[in-house]
Amino acid sequence: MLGVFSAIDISASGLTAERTRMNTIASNLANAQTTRTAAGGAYKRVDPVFEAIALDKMHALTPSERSVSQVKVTQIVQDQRPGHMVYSPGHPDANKDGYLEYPNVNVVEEMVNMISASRAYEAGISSVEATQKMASSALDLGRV
Amino acid sequence: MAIGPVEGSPIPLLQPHEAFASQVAPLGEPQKDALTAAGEGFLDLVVRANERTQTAQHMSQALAAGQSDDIHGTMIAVSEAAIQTRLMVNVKDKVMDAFYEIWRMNV
Repeated sequence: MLGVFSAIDISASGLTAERTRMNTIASNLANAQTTRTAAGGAYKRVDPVFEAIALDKMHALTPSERSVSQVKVTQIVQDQRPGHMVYSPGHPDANKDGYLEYPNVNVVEEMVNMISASRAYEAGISSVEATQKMASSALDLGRV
Repeated sequence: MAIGPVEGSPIPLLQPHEAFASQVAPLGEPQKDALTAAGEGFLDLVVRANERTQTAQHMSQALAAGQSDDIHGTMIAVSEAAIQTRLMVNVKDKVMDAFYEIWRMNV
């Protein structure tokens, strides 16, 4: 049955997902100039993949409630767009033609994603607060 | 001598609300277990409130000790515990109200 706690759990899953997205953005921004990685070559920007996941069994959902789902980051994928090449023959990571590959991170794009992530997080917080207020006013019904 | 409902009473017997009909024994039948059932229900509420409070406590301790950095998860566990405990306390208040209502009854 869907109730107060399942609503809060769903919001919490959204908060966790947005926090993961914030981690990927932080990683992309921090590595915006990284030209060396363990896998070789320049850093490739990463993106989280969000997936709708059914609520766990403990909520005992009726068939019509099954479509209500949590969100989960099930995968973090690398962006395979090529990075931009800069001619800097003195750099140790430059190729034989003297070109150095920089990561495919676009700082402006990451800033936009960051605004989106932090607003989505705030929206999740608002939805938790609204659920709390609903539960709180429902409990005030007991007072006469 | 057993006391039964008055035959042909003009006042219809109160029926439980349809949402609770499956959980509450219909009036008129012996209800020797009604009080026990209510007590068990309340105990279940206490156990659940306790479980949530313990979860919240563990998470807060882990956060304070630096073992976890799940800020929103901890805050949410704490407020879930608060809601569950308030529900339990409200039910207790209602039960106590009912008890005193009968206690103060003029005989």
